Amino acid sequence: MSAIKVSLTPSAIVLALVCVAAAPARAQNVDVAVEMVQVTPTSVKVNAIVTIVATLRRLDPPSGNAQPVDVLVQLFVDDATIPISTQTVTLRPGEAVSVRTQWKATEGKHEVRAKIAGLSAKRRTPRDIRPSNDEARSAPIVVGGSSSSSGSSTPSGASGPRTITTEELSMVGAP
Amino acid sequence: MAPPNARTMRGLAPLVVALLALAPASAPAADFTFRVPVTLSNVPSVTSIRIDCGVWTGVAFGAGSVIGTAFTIVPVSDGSFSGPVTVDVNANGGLTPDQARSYSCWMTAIGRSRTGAEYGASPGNMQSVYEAATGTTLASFRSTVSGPIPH
Repeated sequence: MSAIKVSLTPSAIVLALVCVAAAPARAQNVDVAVEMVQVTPTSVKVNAIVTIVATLRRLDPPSGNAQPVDVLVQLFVDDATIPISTQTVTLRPGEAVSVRTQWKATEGKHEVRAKIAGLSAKRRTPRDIRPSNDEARSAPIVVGGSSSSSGSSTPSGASGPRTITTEELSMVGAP
Repeated sequence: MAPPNARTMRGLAPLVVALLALAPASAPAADFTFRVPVTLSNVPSVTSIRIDCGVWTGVAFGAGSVIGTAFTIVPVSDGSFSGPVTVDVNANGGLTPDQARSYSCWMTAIGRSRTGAEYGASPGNMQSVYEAATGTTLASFRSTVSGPIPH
């Protein structure tokens, strides 16, 4: 019977370890979307503070080995390249989360953009399978000329099950 | 053990009927039920719409923490739809319904583009996605509604 002789020199061991370390970890396919960006109120005076809320949702279906993904989201006014807010949220499959910031309004008509700037995870590198839904814009905000303070009433707390009829949502195509 | 024979099964029938009668007639009421009127017209590429509703602890929409979110998907045919869509939202994550101060509901349109690929037009990009996918113009739309929780 013949024997195969293998010699493990220190350099061979180091080479083996480097090869193992360099092997790419299996990527995790995820689909994180900016679902909506909303600004309230949408018509204000200069220097009024508006609240901006972006809702992010993880759309990839739950699976046994899906892991939480950290999402870096940035909020921009108009086409500015410097964000007014940068936040990180953690999303599991099917989860939604809102990020919120405030902005002192400047005169003019504006839009707010929310953009997913990056994904990370502890073990498997996340791969965004649908980049087309990584950015969304708010409806236009109209900021008038003179400043004023804005106030709002504080509703009392809700109690018990309740039914709320909202205003209408609509979508009309051009004839 | 011998399998139940027909006589045994007949004997169990009254018990089954009694148990069914004791069962609640409908599912427990949700913490919040949103009735969202929706109108779609002349959007033949749209195959379904998804209405999401969420409830927050803050007075201004989105302020504070999310108490709960949920959605309902409704099929659309022939490019039109008119009627209320009901979305039941329950509090979860340790927050209670009485902490709710504001809500928002929003619509996502799902459809088929000119190439046959599926598209999803969210509130933030509804017009651009719809028009790019279909090559037709969206004359008007309202994709989000929000307000205080009535008290």
